[in-house]
Amino acid sequence: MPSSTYSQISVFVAVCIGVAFFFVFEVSFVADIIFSALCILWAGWVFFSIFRDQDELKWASVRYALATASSVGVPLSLAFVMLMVTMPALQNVVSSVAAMSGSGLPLSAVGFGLGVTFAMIVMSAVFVISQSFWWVSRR
Amino acid sequence: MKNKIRVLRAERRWTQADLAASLGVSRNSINAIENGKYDPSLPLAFRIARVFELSIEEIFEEEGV
Repeated sequence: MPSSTYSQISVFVAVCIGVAFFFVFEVSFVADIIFSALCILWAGWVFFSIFRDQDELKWASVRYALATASSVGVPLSLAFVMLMVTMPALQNVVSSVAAMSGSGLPLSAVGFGLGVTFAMIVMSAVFVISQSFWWVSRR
Repeated sequence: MKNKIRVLRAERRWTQADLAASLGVSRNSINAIENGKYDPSLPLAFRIARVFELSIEEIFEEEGV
């Protein structure tokens, strides 16, 4: 897998952790704005790096990983979120994290935020695994 | 799809890196194409043909034909 993909995934995981942090802990409004601005800057950097990097093989791997992440990762994420909502064991974990939250947000908002974050992590994992598989199969 | 890129490159004493630089792609791309692990797009196939001063048909060959 190309190094730039590693860096993008690393930033993505950091963003997911950051979002979860914002939902669980009390964070100032200024920090919230700075974090959001950094996310937008990162999105812009990724967007322009896509046009800068024209290597065909890398593009083929990204296309494959995106197709897999959207066709397999999205249903998997939905299943994961549904399990979180319905299974008592997982429900308790989310509820206890939400109850411990010092963010001042309503419990439903914390639960929603954690659900979205976990769904993003599942899709990212599918993206990384499928892209790694693609590169290994072409060695 | 089979191709003769490895042979053509060896005849010209080019490394994979040399060919990759003249085509504007990564060395990984050249390696994958040479080993038949990846079929290049039509624009890249034309660029490869131009670099070797041959036609596409002289470099690439459809398998099982």
